[in-house]
Amino acid sequence: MLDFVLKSVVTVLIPFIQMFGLYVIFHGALSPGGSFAGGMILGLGFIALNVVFGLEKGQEKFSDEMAGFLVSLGPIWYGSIGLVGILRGANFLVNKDSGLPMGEPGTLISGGMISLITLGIGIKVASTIVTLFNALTEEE
Amino acid sequence: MAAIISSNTPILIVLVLLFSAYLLPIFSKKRYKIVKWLTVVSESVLVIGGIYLAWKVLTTGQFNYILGGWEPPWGLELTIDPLSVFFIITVGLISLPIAIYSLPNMACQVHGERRAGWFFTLFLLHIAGLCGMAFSRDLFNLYVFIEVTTISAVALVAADNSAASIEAAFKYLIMATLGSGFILAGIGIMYIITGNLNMIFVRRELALVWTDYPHALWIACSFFLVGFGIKSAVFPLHSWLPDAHSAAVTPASALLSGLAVKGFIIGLIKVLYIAIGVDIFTALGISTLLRILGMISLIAGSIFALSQHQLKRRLAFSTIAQLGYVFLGLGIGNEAAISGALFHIISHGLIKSVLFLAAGSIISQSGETEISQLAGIGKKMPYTMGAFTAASLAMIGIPLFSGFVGKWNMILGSLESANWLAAIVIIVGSLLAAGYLLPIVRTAYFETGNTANIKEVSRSQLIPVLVLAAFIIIFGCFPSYILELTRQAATMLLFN
Repeated sequence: MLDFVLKSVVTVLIPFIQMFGLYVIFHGALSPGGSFAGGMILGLGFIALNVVFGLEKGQEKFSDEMAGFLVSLGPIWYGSIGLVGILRGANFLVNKDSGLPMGEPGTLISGGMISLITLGIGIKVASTIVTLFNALTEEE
Repeated sequence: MAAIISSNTPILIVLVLLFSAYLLPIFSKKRYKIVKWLTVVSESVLVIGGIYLAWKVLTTGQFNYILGGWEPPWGLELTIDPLSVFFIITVGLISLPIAIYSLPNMACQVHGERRAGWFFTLFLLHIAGLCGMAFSRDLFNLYVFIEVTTISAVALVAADNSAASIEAAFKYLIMATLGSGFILAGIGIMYIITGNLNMIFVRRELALVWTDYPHALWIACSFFLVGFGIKSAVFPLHSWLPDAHSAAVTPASALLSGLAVKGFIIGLIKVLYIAIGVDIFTALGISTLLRILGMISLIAGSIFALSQHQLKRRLAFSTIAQLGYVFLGLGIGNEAAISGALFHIISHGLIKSVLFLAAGSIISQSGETEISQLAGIGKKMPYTMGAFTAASLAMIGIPLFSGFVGKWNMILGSLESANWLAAIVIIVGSLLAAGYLLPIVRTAYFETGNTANIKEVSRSQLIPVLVLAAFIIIFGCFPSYILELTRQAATMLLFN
């Protein structure tokens, strides 16, 4: 795992992998993909780091505590976005009546709360997949 | 604010449980006290919300809550009807004492406060799943909550990380996943036939077209029966239950035996009665099947329980027998029998959680798991053993205890539909229950053994058990409120 070529390639690739993950998450309302696929790609960036540079180095960048915190944060973020509708006097998870800008159809900011919700799921999926991978590798 | 809360109560109940479930791991490492408070507060919200919804349903009738502003059949819908509020009250009343019982020494049972935080995360997720299952009116939404409940139940079994519990959890995982697969396939067939997932729309569509697809519908019904049957351990599909419920830590056994298996029965009731409709599944012979399966599990579960020498295993097998009553009541299928079966759900939930919690206290204080080793323990742990005795009498069906009311209504129902065999089986089941529970009581009180070092459990673990036991007697003496809910639920299922 101390291969020079592998390390250099992964160092260059990881920012692009994660950028692509975020793109899939935020573009999920407009094109195929979405939060599950995007979160998976985002998490795979961290897993590549863990595999190539070893768990210690990976822990520096994305620790287990951080992952555990984000695993909890994702669903809470989703639920809180849903609560906006309730606070505005409508039902849970309503989109248009919750007062978020609906934007112009076809552009990036067009789904109201959809992008915010997919961000929550993306965080959850990414941190879960990293936690699962770390749990499996830490076992003898 | 009050108006917002009262108009959104159903979703807020589920949300509070989910939010605290996900907040617990954050606090569990450094501030374990917050974990305890959050668990108790969210459980109390569930109890208060359940009672409020029941009051609302009994005074103003059932209502629906639409999620996301999309009307059905496009959007998701929660339904607040007598059946769902009945189950919410059941879940609240049983799970709050179990949570309080498990708080003091969970960290030592599952090796560490961090793991205890995760235990309560699973606990609350499980309860949120059960509540969601009761509220949901969409077949696929129901399936999602079934999965939440199942996976958290499997993880609860494995919580203490011992070899026996992990083996049991693995067995449970395989069986339960098989069951989920059957349920999903059934939902798929229903969707292909009707083009809808909302239960009301499915039933409307089925009433028009079901004669064109009798075989497909029969397959879907049997998939549902097998899927939910595995998860609620009806006799030939029960093999995972004794291991899982006896190997889990005590609060998890009480929760799984008292509530989880009933949640899946509520799911089956919703699918059969609300989505498919009572005329159609009776015409397909599913009622007869339910009746036969119920009788077999009743008798077989009781006989297996008689042959067990370990306390928790005997209680686990008795769960199979008692679930047989519920299936039998549903199979008889008139108003009295269904309302009796529903009453048996809450009464058996209370009884079985008392029995498991008391058994857990006895095992932790004496270190003995065999029934024959419990001699003389009744004098050393009078309150725990008293609650155990009350629950045993209730399980047998002695009048003035809650077990009697459900069985009485089921016998009335079976006589009403001239089903003598069912009535006889219900009475024989009661006698068998006396056969496997009273010897424990006799050994504990009337035999002498070496009990010098055994003490009563601490007050914080004793009071929840006594409260649950008090509810058994309260519901036995004054069953009218719960019976009113179950009667309305039975009427809604049969004639709506």
